[in-house]
Amino acid sequence: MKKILQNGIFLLVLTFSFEGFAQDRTVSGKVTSAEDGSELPGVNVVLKGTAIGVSTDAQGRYSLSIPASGGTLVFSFIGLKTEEIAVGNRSVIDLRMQSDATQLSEVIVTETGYSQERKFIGSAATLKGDITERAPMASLDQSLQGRVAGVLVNSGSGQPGSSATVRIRGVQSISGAGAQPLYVIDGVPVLGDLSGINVNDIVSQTILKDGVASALYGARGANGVIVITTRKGQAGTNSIDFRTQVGVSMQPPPQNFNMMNTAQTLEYEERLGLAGFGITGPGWQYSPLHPTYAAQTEAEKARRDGLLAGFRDNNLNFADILFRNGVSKTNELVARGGTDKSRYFTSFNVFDQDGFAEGSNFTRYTGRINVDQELGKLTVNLSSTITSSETTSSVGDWLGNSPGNPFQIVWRAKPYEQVYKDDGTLDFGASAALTPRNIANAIERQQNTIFRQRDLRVLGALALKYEIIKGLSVRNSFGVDMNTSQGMYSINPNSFVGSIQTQNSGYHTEAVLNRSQIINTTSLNFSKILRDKHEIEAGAFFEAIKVANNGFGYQLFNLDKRLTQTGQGAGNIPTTTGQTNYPQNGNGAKSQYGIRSYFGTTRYTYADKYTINLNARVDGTSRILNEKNKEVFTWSVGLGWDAINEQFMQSQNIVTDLKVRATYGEVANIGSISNNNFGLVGGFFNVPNYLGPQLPTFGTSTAFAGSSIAGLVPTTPGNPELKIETVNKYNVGFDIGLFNRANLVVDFYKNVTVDLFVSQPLSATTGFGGTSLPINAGQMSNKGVEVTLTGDIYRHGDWAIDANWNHAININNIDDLGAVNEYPLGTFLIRKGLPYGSHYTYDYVGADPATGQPIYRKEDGTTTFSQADAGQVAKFGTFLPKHTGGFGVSGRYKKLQVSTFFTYQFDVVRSNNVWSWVTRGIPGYINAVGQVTDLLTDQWLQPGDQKFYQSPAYDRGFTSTDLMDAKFLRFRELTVSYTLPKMKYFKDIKVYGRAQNLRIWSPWKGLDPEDNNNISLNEYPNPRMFVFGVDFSF
Amino acid sequence: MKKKFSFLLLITALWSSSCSDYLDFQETDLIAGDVALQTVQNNESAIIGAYGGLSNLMSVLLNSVFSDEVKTAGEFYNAATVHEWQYGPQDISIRDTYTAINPQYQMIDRVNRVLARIDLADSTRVGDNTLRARLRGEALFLRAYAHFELFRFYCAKYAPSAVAMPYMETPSMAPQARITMDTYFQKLNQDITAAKALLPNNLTDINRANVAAANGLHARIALYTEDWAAAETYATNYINTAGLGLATTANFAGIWTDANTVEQAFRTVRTPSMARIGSLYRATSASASNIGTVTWTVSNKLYDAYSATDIRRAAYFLTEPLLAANNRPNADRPGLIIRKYAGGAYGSGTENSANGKLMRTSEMYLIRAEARAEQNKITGANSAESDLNALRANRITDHVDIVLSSRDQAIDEIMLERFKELAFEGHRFWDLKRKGMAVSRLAADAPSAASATLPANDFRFALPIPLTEMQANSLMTQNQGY
Repeated sequence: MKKILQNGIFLLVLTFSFEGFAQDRTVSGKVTSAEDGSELPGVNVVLKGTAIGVSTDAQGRYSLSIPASGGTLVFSFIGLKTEEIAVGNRSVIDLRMQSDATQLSEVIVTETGYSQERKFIGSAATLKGDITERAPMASLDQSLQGRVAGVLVNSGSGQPGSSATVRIRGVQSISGAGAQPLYVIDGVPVLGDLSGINVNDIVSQTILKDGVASALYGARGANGVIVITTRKGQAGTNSIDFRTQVGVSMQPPPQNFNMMNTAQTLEYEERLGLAGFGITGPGWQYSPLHPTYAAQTEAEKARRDGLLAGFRDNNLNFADILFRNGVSKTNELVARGGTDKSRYFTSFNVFDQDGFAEGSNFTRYTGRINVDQELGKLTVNLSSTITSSETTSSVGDWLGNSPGNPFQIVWRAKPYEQVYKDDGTLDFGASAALTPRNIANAIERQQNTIFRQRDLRVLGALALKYEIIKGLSVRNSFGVDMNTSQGMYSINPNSFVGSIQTQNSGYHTEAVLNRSQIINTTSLNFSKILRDKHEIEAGAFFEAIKVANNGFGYQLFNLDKRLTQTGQGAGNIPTTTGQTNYPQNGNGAKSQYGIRSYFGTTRYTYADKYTINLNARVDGTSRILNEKNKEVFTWSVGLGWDAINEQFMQSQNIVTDLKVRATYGEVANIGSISNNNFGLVGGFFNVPNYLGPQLPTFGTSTAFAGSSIAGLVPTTPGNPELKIETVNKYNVGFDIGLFNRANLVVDFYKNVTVDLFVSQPLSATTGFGGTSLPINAGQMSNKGVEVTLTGDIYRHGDWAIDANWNHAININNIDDLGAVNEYPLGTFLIRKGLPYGSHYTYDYVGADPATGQPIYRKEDGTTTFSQADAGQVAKFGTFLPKHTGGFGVSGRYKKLQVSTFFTYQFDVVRSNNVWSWVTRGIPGYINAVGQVTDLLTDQWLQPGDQKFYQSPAYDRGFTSTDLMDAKFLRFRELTVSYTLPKMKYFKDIKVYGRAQNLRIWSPWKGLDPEDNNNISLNEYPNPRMFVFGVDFSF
Repeated sequence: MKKKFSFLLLITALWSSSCSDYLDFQETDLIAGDVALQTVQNNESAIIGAYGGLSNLMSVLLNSVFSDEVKTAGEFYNAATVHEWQYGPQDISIRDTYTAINPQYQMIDRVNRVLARIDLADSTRVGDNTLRARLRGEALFLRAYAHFELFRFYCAKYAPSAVAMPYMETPSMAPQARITMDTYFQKLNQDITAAKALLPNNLTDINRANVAAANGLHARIALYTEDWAAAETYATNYINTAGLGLATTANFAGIWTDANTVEQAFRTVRTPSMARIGSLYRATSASASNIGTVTWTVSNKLYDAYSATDIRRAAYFLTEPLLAANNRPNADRPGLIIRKYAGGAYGSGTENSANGKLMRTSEMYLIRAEARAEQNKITGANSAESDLNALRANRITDHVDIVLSSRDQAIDEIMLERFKELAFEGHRFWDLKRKGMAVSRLAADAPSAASATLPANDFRFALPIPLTEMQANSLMTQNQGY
């Protein structure tokens, strides 16, 4: 062996020497970005078909010795279009490299073993890092909206640091409707939530949409996979970058909401009071028209007049009081570089953002170390990050449906409410109709409450690869994702809000949740090209994943008034009369699950034209109880035709790229297996228990009076037959390039979820007759089309204008529900033939002119006054948009660059809960909640009135009036950046300004039509943000 | 370099070998599945939970409403579909009121879970092993009890080859098919026989199963399957149990006011917080003077069957002056209402609340009398006649022994005596089915001429399998006629 090695080395030396003698000329040049003209360091420049190559230096320059005969230079760089340029007789070759929006990330290439992107035939799309880079949102997914066709991204909260909900090609499951795509960072799948990742560390994100693309990720990839690659050091350059950014977040302007002002509210109260309705507000109680007024003494009359006048003087804009302009600051230091054998990238980032709601903040520290080392035949790659963050929420946001929630009370409170006393202090305390104090109470609550979560996360991936012989290598990668979250919710005992807690002296709860995931993948990869035409690649993999959770929580009452934000000093809790036992105020739980997978991938390409790709795998998991269902076999196949490489395409220059792809793949869906939870005391966290729904659970029963022993009865049967849902994904697509300027990517797909969990009625013989259980009995499908168009519109001299547009249509359908045809689920109706998420409510028509009663339309078209008689109908659409997309235009003049981005969604209907309250028009609501001006003009009051809103004598409840078109067009992003002329000591200085969420066009009434669920109920809307930043590179 | 490679292989091998249990992680913190029934004590709680499903309310109401025991009192009548035999599988009142299939199988499932665990359960206390045997016996008893109830609700008159219900011996989510009656009753007899060997042979706790109760159930089963010799034997076993002598004319009324537990080997304790059995016939009262709505009152046919000297008439019925004054409930017999389960005073917290009498000695006398008659032991010692007279002597103050001369006469007398003695105890409709007799109401008792008679052996003697069950169980078959 030793001898062979020695000979080999000798041979190698000889070869090099020989080549060395043959080099007799030099070609050099400079590589710049076609987009902004900046110099591109680290671009690989290789003489085609040889080992001769270099990387460009920090100024984008290269110099290469080549044989006198010349040849072709290949320029390549991640995210840019690879260029081949014949040298000819030239000695200087400068190049402006184009970006390549359709190019797939290197990650897929290395991870799947596909050495060439062109031969990857799955449906996937890559976003380069510059989409997310400098984004003023902590979580990566917030930047994805509208960027990739078929990827629906909706933000559920404007709280800094919150994640968005991402759905790729629709909802694949009923029980797993909320399941998120799998995120893979540097080759290692991670637990959800991306707020711990510094967006500036990211080079690219690739969204894998079909069965073949996600073949490597198996049972966790059914909802799609997002592969994220972080930055690496580049050989030959060592640089230090410093970035700084400051900005401001503000409340987006509400639209189409027309709340009554003070004068209108008082008038409305008086009007309804006069009509005989039980109005408790000052507009009626202090009205001179009130039946008790005339009989009062002059003094009392004067007092009432004075009070009413006092209310009339209040007309505050509560938004101004409750909301602020939140300041954000980000600073980052990066050191990166290396040699061709050893490269490093390190970064440290501090992100500090205040939300526009008082008290909301997100502060995060992230550090990253990426190292790549080549040791002969062994390659070592390390990707690691550590994050410490602190999320402080506006307490009201967490309270949800509560007058303490600023996003609710800003609508709910009466406009005549007095917030401050004459001395300028808050007028908080018990609230009543004639002394409304909701706003002051909400502010006082915020000031005396802290709601905070701290997270510590360590994410690491270490990969070792050894090349056994040329074309055959063995690789082992080890990934770890560890999270510790600590939550604290503390109410100051020495405050009004503290005085209304249990035991009347504050409240303090803390909880800790640890989550970890360890993953190890071993693979054997083979690749070979035979006779220049037959290209074969194959991989065999073994993977094991273990996820573990544990946590605890406690809560305390009766706190010590001298201290805040602590449980120290908390007093005893008195017993109540007759109490024989005490509830526990703390608990804890732990759980874990494992996944074990074997899989193989193969690809064969003939003559760079025809590719077939075949993958097969077995995934097993402890999340399934039943032995015979634990493991599931799935496979996928893809066919690709690189038509552009055909002879007949060579004679024309209109079509510059043409590729056709077709795939079929089965993907098991571990994410949709429902789990139960152990709730931790305090309500911060849950520890999931995975097998709960598959095991019978028990509860106590007192139905038997004949014994002093408490009864124990099974409360749920559990489904021991549970198996994993499988999504069968079909995809046909093509990529076309025209004139080397425009690219069109079109994909048609159909995903069919089989063994769908649906709620099935149980036979009496199970012991649970009359109840339902999710059983694998249904089928759901999503089909759609995705179009992505990118192109250069204008390019001349220092000018360049590019545009991009993508649009996707997704149609969901419930194909089969097993034994039943429909069942209601929350506010939806799950019905065979309807899409998932179809709203199910009463169809409100208007007020009956004769009586003012609400009129409802029945399913058969006839009308009735009775909700019960009318029944609910499901003809109002779904909360998941059918059409989504985004478009943008960017322009460059010399070093000044301007880019815009718009996103849109339509064919979407959401339930507007707030609207239901403010248009209710009955005394109970009028007395408690601000109302809209529509009621002044469009509410029935006397026979003959042709009005929409019913008489105050009748309630309307939640009906179709609250369902609202939630389509929108959002001016999401405007960025202006300028690269400063060269300066001493600096490699590069770039200044930029960016505006986020500038304008929204929508028929929606409220703050924000966008949300991640079906009902709009006091959510924190997406803020409008303006940031300014400078990047220095040394 | 080879070392590095070997090292890499080593890590891989180590890691892979440690992954063998990745498919088998269990829940460590969850009280569910086998963990819930880990100890004998847990299993006793589960048996107590199963007893919670024991209620005779549905059978009592069904046997009244579907038969000739009651007539509508005219104050609240929304039960035409059942009282006038118009029900189908989708009928709402059938589904809501008479879905016996759910509670009975629920009880069966509860005991089956105990039976699956009881032998493996940890004994943690002194006496747990004795208790283990008893719990097993109680589980088998309840399983037999519930399956017999299912048979009575959903099956036609016994015939070995006729279709019974699915007999559940283990908890299962799989669809279940109906089996033939002979197989069904083999299993039932097996369960009840096994139970008798395990249950306590005393009346210390009549809230829970005992040997006498098992004999009583066994006698009933034999009666319905017309195994006359067995019916005689098991009824005799019940009757001969110390403490289960017939109630006398002195203490008979105390049974219904829960003043005593005479004749009872097995009962359900019902507190006022549970559904009140008396409310099946008359709603609770707003006050002592404002008596609740009377839904059902006694039929003329039944009331007139008692002689004035029959103590049962006063124990079971009442002519309430407060109602009579208002001509309630029926004009033809003002003030006449059912008082069998009247509980405490009108408007009081215990009104209409009474324990459920699941098994009584008088029923056993009537079973034995019928069994003896069918075996041609008509008259003399240990005959149908002697049993009937023994019962009547304790019910009628001026009782004179009757003399039986033929089987048919004996059966007629026994059926009449069952009608009178066991009224409102959940027997009448099923007795008529069992004997292949028609429901035959007097014109004065029937809501209409068309609803006076349900012909003998009509398909409606068996309830339809509810539509929900037909949808949920792919192997379930509907009863004939529906």
